[in-house]
Amino acid sequence: MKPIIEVSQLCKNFKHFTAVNNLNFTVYKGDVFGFLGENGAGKSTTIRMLLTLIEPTSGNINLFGENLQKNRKEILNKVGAVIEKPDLYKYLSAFDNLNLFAKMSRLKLSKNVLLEQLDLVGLADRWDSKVKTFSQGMKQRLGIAVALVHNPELIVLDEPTNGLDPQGIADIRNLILKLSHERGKTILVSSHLLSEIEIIANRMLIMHKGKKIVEGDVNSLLDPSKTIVKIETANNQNAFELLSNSIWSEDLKIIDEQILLKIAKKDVPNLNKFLIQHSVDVYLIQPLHSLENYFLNLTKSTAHVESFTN
Amino acid sequence: MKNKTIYILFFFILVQQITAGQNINVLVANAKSKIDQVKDYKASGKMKTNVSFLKLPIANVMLYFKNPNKFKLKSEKGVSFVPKGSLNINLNSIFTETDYTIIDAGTEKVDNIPVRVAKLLPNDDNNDLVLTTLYIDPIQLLILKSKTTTKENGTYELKMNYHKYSKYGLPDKILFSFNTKDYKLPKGITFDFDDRTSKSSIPKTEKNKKGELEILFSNYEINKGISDDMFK
Amino acid sequence: MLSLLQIELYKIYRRPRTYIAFAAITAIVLIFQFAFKSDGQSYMNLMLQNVQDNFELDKSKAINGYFMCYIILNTLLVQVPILVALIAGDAISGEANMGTLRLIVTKPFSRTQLIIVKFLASFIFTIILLVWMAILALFVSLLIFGSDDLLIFRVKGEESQILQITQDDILWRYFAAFGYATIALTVIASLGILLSVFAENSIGPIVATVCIVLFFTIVSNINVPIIDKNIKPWLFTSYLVGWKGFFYIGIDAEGQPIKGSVENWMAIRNSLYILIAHIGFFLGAAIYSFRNKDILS
Repeated sequence: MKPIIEVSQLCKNFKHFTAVNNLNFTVYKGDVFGFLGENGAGKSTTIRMLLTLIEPTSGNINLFGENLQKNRKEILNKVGAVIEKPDLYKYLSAFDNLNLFAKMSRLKLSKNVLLEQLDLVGLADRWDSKVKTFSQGMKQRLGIAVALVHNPELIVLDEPTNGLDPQGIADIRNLILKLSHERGKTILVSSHLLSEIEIIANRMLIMHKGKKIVEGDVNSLLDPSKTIVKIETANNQNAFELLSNSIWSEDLKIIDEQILLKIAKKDVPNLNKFLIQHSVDVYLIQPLHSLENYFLNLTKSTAHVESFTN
Repeated sequence: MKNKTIYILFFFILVQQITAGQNINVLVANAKSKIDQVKDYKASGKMKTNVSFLKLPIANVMLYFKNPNKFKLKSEKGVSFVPKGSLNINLNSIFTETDYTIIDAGTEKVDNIPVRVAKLLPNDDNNDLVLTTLYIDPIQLLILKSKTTTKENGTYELKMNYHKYSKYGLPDKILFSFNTKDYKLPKGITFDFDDRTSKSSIPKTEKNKKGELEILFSNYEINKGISDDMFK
Repeated sequence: MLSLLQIELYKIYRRPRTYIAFAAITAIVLIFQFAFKSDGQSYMNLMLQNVQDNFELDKSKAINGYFMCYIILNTLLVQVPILVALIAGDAISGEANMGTLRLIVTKPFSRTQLIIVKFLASFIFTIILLVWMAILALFVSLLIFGSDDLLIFRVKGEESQILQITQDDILWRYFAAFGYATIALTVIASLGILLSVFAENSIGPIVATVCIVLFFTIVSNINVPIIDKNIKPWLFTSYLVGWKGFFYIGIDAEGQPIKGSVENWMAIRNSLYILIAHIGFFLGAAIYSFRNKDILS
């Protein structure tokens, strides 16, 4: 499989905080890659670095196998993006907006081609209306049409369903699936809702406080036969190091000084035995049931911790 | 030789007699009658204005006169600043007032030409004119210089050079001097561009408050008749 | 780059805000013309002051098309920076506000190109604005008031002067003045663009540009020697009125204006250099800042 996005050791420091901390991930051709995390997790900052809106503090980004900084123009020609809610040019019609951005990509598209693009996002009947008359959902769809106008190979959508009504959310979701299945586009889509990622993505990454927590196949990550357990011991640091050199090292994380491990339910007793054999004083091994639960708990980590301390 | 000297001396005394001896009333009347030959005229000339704060180009002007006291100075084209009292450029208008007393003020020289000085005092106290002094060449009966003091418009001085039209008593060149007030715009009203060169350019002493108007006449059309409409 | 410029101009052309500037200029000029048509004498009386005690002047001739244009430029060139700021201050910040900046910046051209294009678009807007002003203030005034000699009322150092320029010697001065004004207003445009780089809504940079211009203008008009000498030369607003230099006709030794001349070419040239240096500085700073800016809008 051909990698489209390769991110390695990416960091971004703002004045008073680190938005992205040593991030690594890969998106392959044809993926619908879900980028999951609560608000402020660093998703938008990462996406903006992929689009050269923000300059990374350190690290490397390759798109289409080429360095982004060095081949910016060529690469960006193959990328379409919708970041948050674009208002577009309110005083122009949908058609004029689309035409304007086509021209910016040095394309002279015929009226029919442009109308087809608008039809794809369901705006063909409103092509001549000024954008200021559009609903939030319509603007979002027009934004996607704008992102698609130069027929990019990679489409980046930052929180595309944010602020939309249920019908709007469904429309966007169908559009993403259509683009993936019918047109073979590679799509990176960010969201703070697992339910959304679950439906449309084949691979996903969860970010929390600027760090990657987990990356992988949606199906295997959400595999109901596996569970995530939280481990508390007398010395978490030692236990983490121990587990890092064990057979479970691959699915191991330490977050907020809690050890988290993805493990098949039937293996939990073995885990317990292993720790005890290595003289670790185990206080707690608690299953968190599902990825969803896990994610929800992450996003409410303070509440979660509080529930333990009380 | 002695005789010759006596003759020359006698000649000078004679000239002196002609110059000084003539009754001043008669002289003024003669000068007036010379001017009175002109019933109307239309003259063209070039007017140059010398006033410290006015930077004006030389203007082509037309002057119109019609008996007894109609006078107009017009610039052929463009905007022109005409000093008030420029009516006095026209000598004819000096004599429009018939009721005046003439005082003999002796002799003097104007441009090395001996002249008789006559002071004309209007008898009417309400007249704007306070005093007119005329410097008359008694031989040619030409007024070479005049000074006019008015109540409203200050004092004017007029100097004339005669050449082509001297038999009509019309000058070829006029130099008209008058008083002007200083011109001062409040700073800031004009938002001027300060090119930072103007600080010491003008010495204070040059701020004279005398203005001068010089007119060089190129052509007169005399007694050809002028419509009254010209003076409206 | 040319196609990008076309797009920028298209955007300016299509947005309603653009026409505020044209409407404002039209309204101001028409009001001026109406006011002077009905009562220009009072203004003349004010400018002539006590000159009228000694001189007679055909004021209706003095209030002619050329004079009107000068009066209008004199006033309007103080306001036009606001109109230029309205467009230039919006250049980047407006896009940020509409959420289109992040779209544009991901298009395949560089940020330097974007700033230059924004600058050129503002520059062209300024030219068109001035051409419109020239049509209204000069040519329409000439139609309404006719043409005649131009009187310039000037305060030069400690002196006040009235300069008369004959009508066949005026038109070129206006062309030169409009050319100069274009450069002067382009300074405002480049300042507006620089400030717009730092903001995410257009009000801030527009207001900031206008405030800077107003503040500098007020300071440069305080007319206190210490400011005149030490501060005024450093304020670019002191040079905005340099177009008037073309109307300060040269005077010969006898005090007569010399046709086709200008009193101080060097001063005009130096002012132009200073203005162009400002444009270069503001534009350079805008490019530098924008290239190194993280777009978070």
